[in-house]
Amino acid sequence: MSDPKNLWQNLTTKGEKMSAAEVCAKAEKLDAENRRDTISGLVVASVLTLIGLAGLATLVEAGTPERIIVGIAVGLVWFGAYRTSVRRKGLPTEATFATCLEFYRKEVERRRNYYRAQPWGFLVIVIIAVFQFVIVMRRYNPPIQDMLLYPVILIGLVFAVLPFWIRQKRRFQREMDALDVFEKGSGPS
Amino acid sequence: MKADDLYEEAAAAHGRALERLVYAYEADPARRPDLLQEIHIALWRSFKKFEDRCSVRTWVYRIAHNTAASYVTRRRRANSLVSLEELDSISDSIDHSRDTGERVDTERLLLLVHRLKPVDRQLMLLYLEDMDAASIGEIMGISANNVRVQVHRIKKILSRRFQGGSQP
Repeated sequence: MSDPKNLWQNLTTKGEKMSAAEVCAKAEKLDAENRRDTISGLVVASVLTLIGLAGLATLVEAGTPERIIVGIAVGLVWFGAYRTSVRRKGLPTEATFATCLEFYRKEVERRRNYYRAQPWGFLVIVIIAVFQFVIVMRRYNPPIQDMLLYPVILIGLVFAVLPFWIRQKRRFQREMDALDVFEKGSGPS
Repeated sequence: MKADDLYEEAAAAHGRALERLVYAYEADPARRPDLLQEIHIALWRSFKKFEDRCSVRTWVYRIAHNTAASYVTRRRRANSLVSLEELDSISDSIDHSRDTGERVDTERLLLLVHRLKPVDRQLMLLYLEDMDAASIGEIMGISANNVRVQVHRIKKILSRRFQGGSQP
C-alpha cells in the first residue's frame, strides 16, 4: 500500500494556469452576470409590485381588509426579491478576514439562524390565511366546502415543511457544537 | 508589491496545491473548473486587502479553503458529510479484491476526503500537503497542540486504511 502523503502530492492534475489579467476578466464577467441577475430579479418583482398596486388602486369594490391583504402580499413579494438579491452578503469577501474555523463557524451560524427564524415566517403565513378566510366568509358567505380548501392546503403545507426546517436547525446546531469540540481539541481520540 | 503581482506569484507557487484542493472538494470532474475559477477569483480579489500579517502561503490556503467550504455548504450535500471520529467507523466503498494499484489507492484517498466535513477535510488536506502543526494552526485558527491531537487521529485513520490495508 502507498503512503497517503505521497499519493496526495503526486495526484495528477491538469496543471491549469491563469494570469492576473485572465482572472480579472473572469471576475468582471462574473460580476456582470450577478448584476444582471440582481437587476432582472428586482425588475420582475417591481413589475409585480406595480401590478398589485395598480390593482389595489382600481379595485373599487374592495374594502379596507381586502386592501390590507393585497398590500401585504405586494409588500412581501418586493421585500422577498430585495432581500434575496440586493441585501445578500458575499461570502468570498468575508473569507478574506477570518481564519478557516472562524469563517466556517460564521457560515454554519448563518444557516442555523436562517432555519431558526423561518418557522416564525410560517406563522405569519398562517395568520394571513386565517385573516383572509374570516374576511371572505363574512363578506361573501360562500359555501363552506369551497372556502375550506385554501386554508387547509396552506396550513397543511406549512405543517409538512415545518419538520424539515426544525431538522435543519438541529443539524446546524449539532454542527456548531461539533465545531466547539473541534476547537478545543477535546474530541474522542 | 502590487496585488496582481502577488497573485501571479502565489498562483505560480501554490497553483498545483490549489488544484489538489479542488479535487478534494469537488468529486464531479465537470464542476472542478468552476470551483478552481471561483478560488482564483477570490484569491485575486483578496490580495487587494493583503497586509503582510501572515505569510502568503497561509493567506492562499485560508482563502482557498474558505471559498471551497462555502461552495460545499452551498451545494447542500452537507447532510452526508462526517467528522474524523465518524469516518473511523465507516467502511470504504472500493472493491479491493479487483485492484490494489496506486490508482485505486488515490481513488480511496479521494473518497475518504470527500466524505469529511469542511473543517476536518481541511485539516486532512493540510496534513497531506505535509504542513507542520504550527502552519496548520495558523491557517485554521486553532492551537498547534490541538492540531497535533487531530493529526494523530488522522494518522490512525490513514494507517488503518492504507498501511494495514484491512477494512474496519
